[in-house]
Amino acid sequence: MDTNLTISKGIFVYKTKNIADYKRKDGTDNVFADQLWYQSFKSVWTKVEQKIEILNDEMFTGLLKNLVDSVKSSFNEKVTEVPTKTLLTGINMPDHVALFSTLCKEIKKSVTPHIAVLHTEHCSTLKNLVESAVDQFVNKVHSYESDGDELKSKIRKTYCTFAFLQAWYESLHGSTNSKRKTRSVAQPLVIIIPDFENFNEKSLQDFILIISSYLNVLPIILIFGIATSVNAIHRSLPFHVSSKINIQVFNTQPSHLYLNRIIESVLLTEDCPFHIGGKVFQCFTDIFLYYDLSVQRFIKNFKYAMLEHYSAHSIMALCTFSHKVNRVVEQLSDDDLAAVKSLQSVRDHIEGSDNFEETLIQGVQHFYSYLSMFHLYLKCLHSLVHSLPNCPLGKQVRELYSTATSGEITQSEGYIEAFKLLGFHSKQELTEKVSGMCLILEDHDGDEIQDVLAQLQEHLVKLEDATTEVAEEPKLGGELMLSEKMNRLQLKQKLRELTRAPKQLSNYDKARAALIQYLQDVFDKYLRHPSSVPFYELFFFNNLSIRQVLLGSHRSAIHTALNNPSYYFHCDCCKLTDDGRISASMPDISILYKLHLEYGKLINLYDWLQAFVTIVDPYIDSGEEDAENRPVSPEVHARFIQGVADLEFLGFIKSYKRKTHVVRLTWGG
Amino acid sequence: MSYNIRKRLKNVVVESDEEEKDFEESASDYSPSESESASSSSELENSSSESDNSSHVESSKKLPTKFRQDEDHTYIIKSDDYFSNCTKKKAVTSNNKFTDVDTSRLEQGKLQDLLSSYNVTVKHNKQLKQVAVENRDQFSKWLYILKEGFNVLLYGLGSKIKILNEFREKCLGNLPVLVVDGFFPNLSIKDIVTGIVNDILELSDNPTNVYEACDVIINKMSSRRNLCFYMIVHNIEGEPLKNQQTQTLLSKLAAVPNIHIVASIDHISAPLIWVNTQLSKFNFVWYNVTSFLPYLRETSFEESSIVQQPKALVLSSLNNVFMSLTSKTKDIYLIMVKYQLEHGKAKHYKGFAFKKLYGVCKEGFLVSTDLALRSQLTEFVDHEMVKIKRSNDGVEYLVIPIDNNVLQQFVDKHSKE
Repeated sequence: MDTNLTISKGIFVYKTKNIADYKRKDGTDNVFADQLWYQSFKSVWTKVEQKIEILNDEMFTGLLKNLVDSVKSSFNEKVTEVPTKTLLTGINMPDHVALFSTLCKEIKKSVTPHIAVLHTEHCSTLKNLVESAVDQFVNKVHSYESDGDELKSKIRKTYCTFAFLQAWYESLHGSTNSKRKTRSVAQPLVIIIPDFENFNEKSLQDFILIISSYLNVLPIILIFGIATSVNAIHRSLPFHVSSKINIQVFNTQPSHLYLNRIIESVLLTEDCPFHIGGKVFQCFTDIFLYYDLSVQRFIKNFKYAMLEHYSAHSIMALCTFSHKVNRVVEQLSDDDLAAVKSLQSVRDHIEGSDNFEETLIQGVQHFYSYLSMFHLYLKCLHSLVHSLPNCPLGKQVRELYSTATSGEITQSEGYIEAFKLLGFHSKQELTEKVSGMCLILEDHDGDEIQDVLAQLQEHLVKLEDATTEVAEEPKLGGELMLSEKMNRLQLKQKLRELTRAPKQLSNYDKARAALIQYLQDVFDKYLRHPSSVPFYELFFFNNLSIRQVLLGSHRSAIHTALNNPSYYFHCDCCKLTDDGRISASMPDISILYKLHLEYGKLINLYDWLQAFVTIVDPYIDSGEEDAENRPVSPEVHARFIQGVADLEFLGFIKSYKRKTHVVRLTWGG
Repeated sequence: MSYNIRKRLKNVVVESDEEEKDFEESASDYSPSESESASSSSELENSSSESDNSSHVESSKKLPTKFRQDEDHTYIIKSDDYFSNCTKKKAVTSNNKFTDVDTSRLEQGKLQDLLSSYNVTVKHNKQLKQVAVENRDQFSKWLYILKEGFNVLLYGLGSKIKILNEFREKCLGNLPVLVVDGFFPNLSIKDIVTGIVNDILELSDNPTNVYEACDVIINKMSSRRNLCFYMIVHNIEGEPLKNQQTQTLLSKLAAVPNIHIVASIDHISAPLIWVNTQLSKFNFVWYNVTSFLPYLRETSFEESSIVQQPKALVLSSLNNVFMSLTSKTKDIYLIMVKYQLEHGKAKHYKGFAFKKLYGVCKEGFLVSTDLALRSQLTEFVDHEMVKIKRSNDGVEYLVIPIDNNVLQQFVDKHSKE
């Protein structure tokens, strides 16, 4: 059935022409590159990617400023120990690539062109380590083109020793020994080890000793990336080594802050018309928080959701930037328009109109303005509620977003709770918060926003003027009532009634209530659930099946297939009333699997085979006694053997020292 | 429990109309009411209520989207099972012997013949085809995803060789492809890297160090953006590939934007082999391609599978070597075989002591010196017909590493001659 049915090798190459002929022709374009929706996707994704890159650079540069500065000044004074910077990076390893590449860029820009980055896999032995480090210093100067003639100028790796490095460095910068004074001018050699914990301790110790002996001729700086704690250095380097290095510790920010920044300033803005719905968003943040704390993974998941969303239908091309909508609508076919018409949100909210294209353009534009308002007011709400005790709505904008897109946020428990708490705020606290909200609003133009802003400021003034004094009269009435003579029981009754009577509101209370009412009205208006706005489906991705695709459910898929094959077959014959039953119509492997569940740790192959035979090849004839000794047909036998081999291949069983048995490797069905 | 209900309802929907099912799958992407928490009844309504707008279903056919909607099942381990299964001190089984079945001596070749004559899929041929078609429908989507920097990982019960071969033939016909059989026992990462450097990229120098070779590949690929090649890795978790070093290298290759990997896994613990960093570099998208096909090729390499040890092979090779021996040597070997058959069942059988063998052989005038016997034994050892073990007290024991029932057949044949 296939061409590679040889059993003598494990690698097969399929190629129809020489590698040189593959140039250009079979370019790396996507199969759907000519589709409208793909172009929309590409433009949105490129924009998002760019913004993330800019943000990364900004963020890391800020973080690494201290580190770079200290690298710059390390050799200003005479040093006796190797200057060592440790960067506490946190355990989100996949993100470190971006961090260290920014670090390299920064050092190259402002300190020195001599950088070597050492990865674990290159440095299993001291020899490899030295070679790899020196090689990077010496050969980095030449550009890394892999064409033949360029390779010649490269220095062979076997020549890469420290003596060679010294000669090279002196030829470049002049001997440092002779003119010690000018050393600060010279460019230091920076060695970066991004993954300190994984490094071979032994060779690293020797390496550091070698470096320290060369320190008077070669200005070398070490930078370690440590995922756990500074302790790791002391654990892997004994005293005689660690005394040779001068450690300085730098911190980076934890990755969840990084994620928040990406979410707030890239994903939840107008620059990204594509949005993920509450459930999926929740799923992604869960993956982030409970699996790997990797922002890269989050971004990749987001990208996959985008791919999934755009490829769902050609009408998703509409999910693009607002200035491109007109062009997209022009290119849509009639079928596409019909499809847009049949979207749930469109059917619910828009009556049939003659010029649907016009309605479509307007509707989509309306959705953009809705979205920008949605984000703006989400931030406003966040500024109000993020510091409330117990955080009923969460501390982060992302939590608010997730609530707001999974259901009506204004009806949610947390929201009601939050506003109740706001209602207890003192004048100062409330004024602070509302002014904070005003600051956010001030950054944005638009009549509606200015209107809201004006109203808020009006409320603030009222709040400022309001006193906490309570009007006098009702108080008097109360006292009067109490002054009458009454017995203990009556007094008790009276007091109880008084507590029940509505509390007298002060002016401040009234102003506060009015403000909060106004705020609620505003949020009611702008923080509606997106699905209540037409064309929602074009912009929101809400399919939670994506979880299976991103995380995989390997074990459960196998489990289901073995236990309940009808799940995949959609057939009647294998449908089971309860999980323990076995029917002959099931695939052999399922039957064998179910039979093997009935055994303990060891399975006797003979018994297993007999049980298998009774199911797949039941003996119907009358001769009951010799049923046991009936020879097994070779066909059934072969099926049994293959099934057992399959189960072994899957890892359910393994062979046992007694050849008649196999061992179960799992427990439980 | 709700899963059961949902599943049952789903089946009802599926049976009712094949097309409607098709529709439900594609439509759910835009129906707002479709959510995970939606009750099972609403799912039914959903599919029926939207049956009027079938237009966009047809238009979406060319598009790659297809989620297997029916995968909301989760696998939950019941911890009680552990105690019911593993706390028993000794596993009790019956004394029946598998070798008692007279057909137990099935050979590899015969096994394959039997299996191919019996159509394994006969039970659900139609459904299996349906499942295969559904899986095949995803090809264009895989291509689409691969080009965007993701790699594809296939899982689910059943051999995936067929579907991966189909994918290669249909979609990657003209492109350079490297197919790796991860289940092939003698495979090494060196083979893979060499395959890429020599055969795919046609580079003249191939560094001996795999890491350097890997760097060469990465440099080459990143300097030529318009070039791309695919790697199809059957069983990326296979025995020869599952060590950390190999996986790190593979993940480094996978992270290169113009190297695309389509891999498959089968072993139930396969996902455990990757660490965080590797997974992030692999950037897998997981697709379930359950096919129920038997693992014919994959298992044909398995040495340990006691069930299908190719005994005929052992026997015939034993015979072949035996025939080429001198008559005296033959006799020596027969002595050893008979001794092992006689005493091999003893509880602490150590083997045939060398001294003892020498004594027996001397008696039969087979050898005259200790040295001569040794040189005969070397021949046996070279052909792996005998193993020499040294016990704690320094005595050499000779053991024949072949199953007793094979030896019995061997003796039956040769003692008559």
